[in-house]
Amino acid sequence: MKVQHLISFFRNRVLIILSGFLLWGLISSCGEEFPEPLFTNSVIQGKINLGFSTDGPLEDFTITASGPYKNKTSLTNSSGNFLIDGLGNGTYRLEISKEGYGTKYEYGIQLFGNDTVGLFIDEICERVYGEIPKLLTVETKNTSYSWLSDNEIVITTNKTSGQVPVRVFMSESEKVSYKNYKWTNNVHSLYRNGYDNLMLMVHDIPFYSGQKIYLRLYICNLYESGYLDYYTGLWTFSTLEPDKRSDVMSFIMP
Amino acid sequence: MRLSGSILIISLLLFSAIFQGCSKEDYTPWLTGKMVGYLYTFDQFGNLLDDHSQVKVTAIGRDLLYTGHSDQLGRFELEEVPTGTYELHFEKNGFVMLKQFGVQHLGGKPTILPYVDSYEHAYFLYEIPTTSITDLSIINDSLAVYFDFTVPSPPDRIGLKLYFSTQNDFPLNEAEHTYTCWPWKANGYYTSKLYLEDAPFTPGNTVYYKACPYTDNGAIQLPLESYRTVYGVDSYFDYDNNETIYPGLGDESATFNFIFPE
Repeated sequence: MKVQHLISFFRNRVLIILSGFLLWGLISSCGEEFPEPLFTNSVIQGKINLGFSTDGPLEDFTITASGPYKNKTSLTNSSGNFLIDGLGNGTYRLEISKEGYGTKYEYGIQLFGNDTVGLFIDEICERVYGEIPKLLTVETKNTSYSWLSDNEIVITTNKTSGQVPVRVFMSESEKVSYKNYKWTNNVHSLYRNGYDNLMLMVHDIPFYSGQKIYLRLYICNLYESGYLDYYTGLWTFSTLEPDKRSDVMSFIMP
Repeated sequence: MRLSGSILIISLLLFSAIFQGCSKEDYTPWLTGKMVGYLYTFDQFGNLLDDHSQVKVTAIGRDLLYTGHSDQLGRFELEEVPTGTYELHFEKNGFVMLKQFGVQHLGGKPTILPYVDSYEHAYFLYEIPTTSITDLSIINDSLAVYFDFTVPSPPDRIGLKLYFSTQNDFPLNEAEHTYTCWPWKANGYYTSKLYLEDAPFTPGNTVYYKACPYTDNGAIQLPLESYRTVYGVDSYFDYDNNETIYPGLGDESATFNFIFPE
């Protein structure tokens, strides 16, 4: 009896272990991260171009196509051309990146089956480096800065030399940021006779007279004109450094 | 032995259940993804409003409805929408309904609506027109219109769609010629010069005409962003009724007639 019990015991154990392996195998095969495409013959090809004042080779930018399946990547050649083939059906986002350059995105690329989609990615800009100096005051024409026009301001700083690559974002809200703004423009570094320190000058401010306006500055390539990020709906600057920002300051529009 | 038999049966049942769950037909055509889009709202005269929120967006697919609402900036997002061709409805109290047919959604990364090309596009949604036409006259190539406004400050210029026919009391969709203009306010009425050279009428014919107040912005410059132009999608071909619908069209006027000039 004891021998029979032992045999039965081990047989059950073996069966349980075998069942466990079987289940594990099935579950792991079922847990595929990506679905199977119906078609895999689509191609995204295109060309990149560098922005104004950005020098450097066009090659070795990484182009990443992300869609419903595993990401596929390619590198640009010396002419800036790229090609990603063997893509499955679905909607894709393209990411264009390289160390030292702003990363750009293209959204809503639809591949139905055997499509070849061509894209031109313009204005890839170099990242810029710098620190925002301590901002002291915002001056308008109403203050002692009579040489300003009605739609200009200068921001006084503690910096005594050099330039600052910076972009200003303005809003009627004190929560102004590069994601929450009504107007943006690049900022000119300015030294003027009779003044000791660097000033940051903003032209063509379009707000109404008497409005209280909040502003915030970010380090950003001055020559980047920006592009529409179709996912966020925001006019976006690929070289903007979100963490390199000033405090919020305000002024009354003259 | 009874125990091992039970284990075998349970394993087989689990096996069959899991195997069915793994079947490719279950997921291969059923990619899902977001629909992300943009819309702007306008008053009945085509002035851009500040707040574009609370527009209900519905994607009608084969079996299910997917809904979302626009935010203040006019962005909307529908989540987990399966691959398919959809009819979109845009609705907000006090606004005309906009529909879009044949919207293709593949799944994966977000489908951007209306679509992505070299120019920025958005859906335009207009307030329901409340202005009516009380009188209308054409003398030679000049149009004069009288409106009844329900708003305290009518605009200096208002959109108008004119419909012409050689038949009296013709329905709008049987007009032989249409013409869109934006008459300016002058001494209490609105006037415009008409250019009807390509109209299919013979000089001396009696031509009947009527008009509707009409809002159609085409494209707008976003406030404070003079460099940014957004092109509007604000009409649609209604496949149910086989006609092009202009949601910004107000009530039609009475029918008038004139002698087609030389």
